[in-house]
Amino acid sequence: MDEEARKTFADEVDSRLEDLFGEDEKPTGEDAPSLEDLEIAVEADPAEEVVEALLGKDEVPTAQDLPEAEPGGTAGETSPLRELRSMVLSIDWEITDEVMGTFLDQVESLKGAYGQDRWASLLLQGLSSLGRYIRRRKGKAHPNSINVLKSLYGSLEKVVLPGKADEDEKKRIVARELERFRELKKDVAVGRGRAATVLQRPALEEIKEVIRSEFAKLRAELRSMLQGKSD
Amino acid sequence: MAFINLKKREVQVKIVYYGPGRGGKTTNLEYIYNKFNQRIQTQMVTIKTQGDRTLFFDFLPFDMGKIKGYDVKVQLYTVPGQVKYNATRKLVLRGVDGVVFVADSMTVRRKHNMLSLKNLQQNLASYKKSIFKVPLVLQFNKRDLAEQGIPLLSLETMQRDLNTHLKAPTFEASAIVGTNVPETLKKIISMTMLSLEKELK
Repeated sequence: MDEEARKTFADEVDSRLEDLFGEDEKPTGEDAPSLEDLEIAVEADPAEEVVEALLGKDEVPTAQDLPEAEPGGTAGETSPLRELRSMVLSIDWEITDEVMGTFLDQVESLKGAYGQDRWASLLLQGLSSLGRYIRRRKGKAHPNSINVLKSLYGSLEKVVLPGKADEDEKKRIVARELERFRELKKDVAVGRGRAATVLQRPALEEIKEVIRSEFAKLRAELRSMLQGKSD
Repeated sequence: MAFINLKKREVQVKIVYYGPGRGGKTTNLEYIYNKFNQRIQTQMVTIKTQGDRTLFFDFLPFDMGKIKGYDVKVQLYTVPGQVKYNATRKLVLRGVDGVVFVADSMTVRRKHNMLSLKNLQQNLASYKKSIFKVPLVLQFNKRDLAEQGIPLLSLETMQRDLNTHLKAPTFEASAIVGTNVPETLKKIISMTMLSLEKELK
């Protein structure tokens, strides 16, 4: 077994273990663990209240109103977004720990660069939250999560690159992204509920089966011990 | 040896928590079950005597999902620690793929740790397995008791007593509050899966 294949296998195992037993999610309680990142981004950030206060709740557009935002073509060679853009394109092709790690590193460094821009900060927080969720779930992430990630990135470009949007438009863009986030969060929650009900019965059956098998082994062991004594 | 069904592409991995009586083996499993039940979606089976001691074994199965195209199912067991239940301990060890040895850090339990580790070596040998080859993690449990003024063995002493020759990964832990309980579990599963990698074509 070559070293590279072994490392990939080890990464796969570690990643799955992190999904199951990672300490940075709340594993108990009513909320789905995989939703925690999204909860933080959407509900705990006071910037969202700013958006709603500025636009009014009724004016927040729904996800259906959103145009598809495609990353690419606008972040120039010298833009701080250049690296992030290439990572977003990579995620579209493959989701690995390495790609997601680099993506999250890029987002973190941009948080520093755009710390004074409240709209960019909010979008970066969304990218960070969604990135962590996708890294944990990988192929099991909600199918729409990559689209939302791309959309968030596309909006980030519009918000930070000069001449792309005025202040009012920026507010509207961020509000749309938050709405998409909410929709995704709801979809993830629905998916999680279904999985939980399906899993319970096989687990019970499995326990019964293993116990039966263990007792059978115990009986066989006792029989062989008794036979050994009588021989 | 893990049960590997090539046709169904399914792997069953058996991990046993071993160690002296009242060392915290069951507490490890209870912590895992209580903390991660939402994620692992399973039920824990435990058979205790009136004095809250493990009579037969504790059992906690869960699915890890697909790895390398195989459905990986992990089964965690504890053994009864009391000396008199050696036949049960030996039985639970049958087909084991990885072992967590839960040592008790209390000074008064020093001898029990060493005897239990020796017992593990002997019982593995009865299945023609070497304690030096089976994936093994040592957990030095009850480190939190130092805060209550209870005399504990130093980590150096525990390393010297138990790990001089084994050179196994070790974790200082408190199963009752969960310190390093998930880390111990992740480590033993990771080591065990790597040991099985060649079988998973």
